[in-house]
Amino acid sequence: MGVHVFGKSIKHNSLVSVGLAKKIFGVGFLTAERICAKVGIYPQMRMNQLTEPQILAINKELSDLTIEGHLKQKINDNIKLKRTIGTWAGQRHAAGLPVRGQRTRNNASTANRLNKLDRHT
Amino acid sequence: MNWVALRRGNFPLTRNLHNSAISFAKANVKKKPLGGKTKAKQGFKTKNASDSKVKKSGTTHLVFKDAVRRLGYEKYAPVFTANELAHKDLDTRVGEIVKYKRSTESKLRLLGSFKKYQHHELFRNPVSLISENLIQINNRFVEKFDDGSANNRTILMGDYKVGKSTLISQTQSLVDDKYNGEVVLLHFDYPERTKEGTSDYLFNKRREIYQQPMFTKRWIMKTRQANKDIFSKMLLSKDVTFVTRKVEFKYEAGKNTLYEYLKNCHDFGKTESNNAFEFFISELKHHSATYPVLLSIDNFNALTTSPFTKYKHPDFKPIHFKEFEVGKFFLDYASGSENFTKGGVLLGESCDSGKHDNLSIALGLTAYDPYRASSLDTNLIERLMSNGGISVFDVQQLPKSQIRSLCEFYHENGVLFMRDYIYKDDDREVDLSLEQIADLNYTKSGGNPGLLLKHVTMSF
Repeated sequence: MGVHVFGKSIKHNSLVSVGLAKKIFGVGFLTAERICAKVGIYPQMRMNQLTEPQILAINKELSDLTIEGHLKQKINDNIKLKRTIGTWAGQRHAAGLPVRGQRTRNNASTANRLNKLDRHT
Repeated sequence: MNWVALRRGNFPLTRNLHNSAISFAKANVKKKPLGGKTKAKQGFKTKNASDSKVKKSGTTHLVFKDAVRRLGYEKYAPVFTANELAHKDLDTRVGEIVKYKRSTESKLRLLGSFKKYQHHELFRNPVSLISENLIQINNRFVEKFDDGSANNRTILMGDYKVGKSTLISQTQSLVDDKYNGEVVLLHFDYPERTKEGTSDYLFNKRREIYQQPMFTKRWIMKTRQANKDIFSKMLLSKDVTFVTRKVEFKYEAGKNTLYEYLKNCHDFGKTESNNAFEFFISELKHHSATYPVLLSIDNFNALTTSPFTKYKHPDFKPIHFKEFEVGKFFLDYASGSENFTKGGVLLGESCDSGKHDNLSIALGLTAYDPYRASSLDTNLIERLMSNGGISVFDVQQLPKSQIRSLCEFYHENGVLFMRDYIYKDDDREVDLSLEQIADLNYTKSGGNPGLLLKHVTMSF
């Protein structure tokens, strides 16, 4: 059973703060706890204990943040901008190599996997 | 294949079909695959299939320590005869092992005075020993009930397992006996619950205080059950109106009782601002001249060690425990700013909750260090020091004579566990007298009753 918040199904027996942080892209533990404090959700509350008005209040708080698709789009746009203006970071993204001066003799597999022009498709 | 056996002519015995009946042949049992998924059988369960299952007696999902407590092992303990703990002639009964009065015991059970891990499952009823500590607390605290709770505030301090929580329950029993049950017992066995974030919370704008409906509702329920008789005698001092399940109740002063109010008013657990708890306390205060009130808070240092709770304000700042309705109640009565005309406030220290200078400075045990002021809650310290401060009661270890009487009692009840002689190969027979056992246990426990019980019962 899942509880639907912001279009995401979150496990019913997870803590609200943990569930939000785990499921919603762009929401970490601190942001999740901030949202809970603002809405008045107690720290040990579980997802299945949320009432309808509380879910709506969480949705309202989340809609004010740059998360999920908007955040992914923003990241992609930033990478594209760097590429178009020809920065070093943009070139490294295009080449799928580490951006921040890491060595590439060994490893660099994370960069190979993630560093693309369309990072979030 | 055993090639050596084959070369010697020892062929493996095979069963020939012509000299053995087919009926003796082994049924062709389909072997289950070792790995991978098995195909699930479709269809309904037949009656026989469910009958063939042997239902094992269920025990519990709890770990051993909790299981022995929850499975009611006290039912199998031998019945013992002991006198009841009474306020009368207490001084002459030092060293005697007693049980609680039946009516008091049920009250204390409801209030949660008998805590887990105190090994009450070893005996048919909770037992206690009349010690010097009890005599002292009787003289210093119980006898001063007429002075009012603001002038009668004591905190029990002492070593780990020395019996601070037990002394609280003994004091409750003494007070109950002294006033023939006409005393209100308010007990918080685990006040950390107010700050660990397990209860819901809401802000009461009128009173500018946070309320915890779930916690308050549960506490009120057990307090109401434990004090049923006394609350039934307390007539309301003010008119009160409330709505429960769409029915409007109008209780009049001098006509309806406090018990009726607590039973029918469900505002304590409502997730909206209310003043039900405030009304309840004001009623207790009003009647405290006739019916004394004993407020006991165990693990009080858990509140002072880390006064900020896990709850957060909307601006994400942590909430202090005194900003909660119940926390404010603790602090008001512990500091003496609020007073029950007759009664007392008994606080208990817990060795598991950590130590902090907040409490020790407030009690005058440690000098205030201005260079460490940033790590101290000066406001809390000042509150606790106000109105004459809280008197410290140092709970002492038991003397050898009382350890002996405890060992004797444990032996009679089959609880005393004696180890084998350390060198098992040695032929020496060990036949210790009770005196020697008492000496041994006194040396090992140092007169600490909790450690003594742990030592004589636990095999480790």
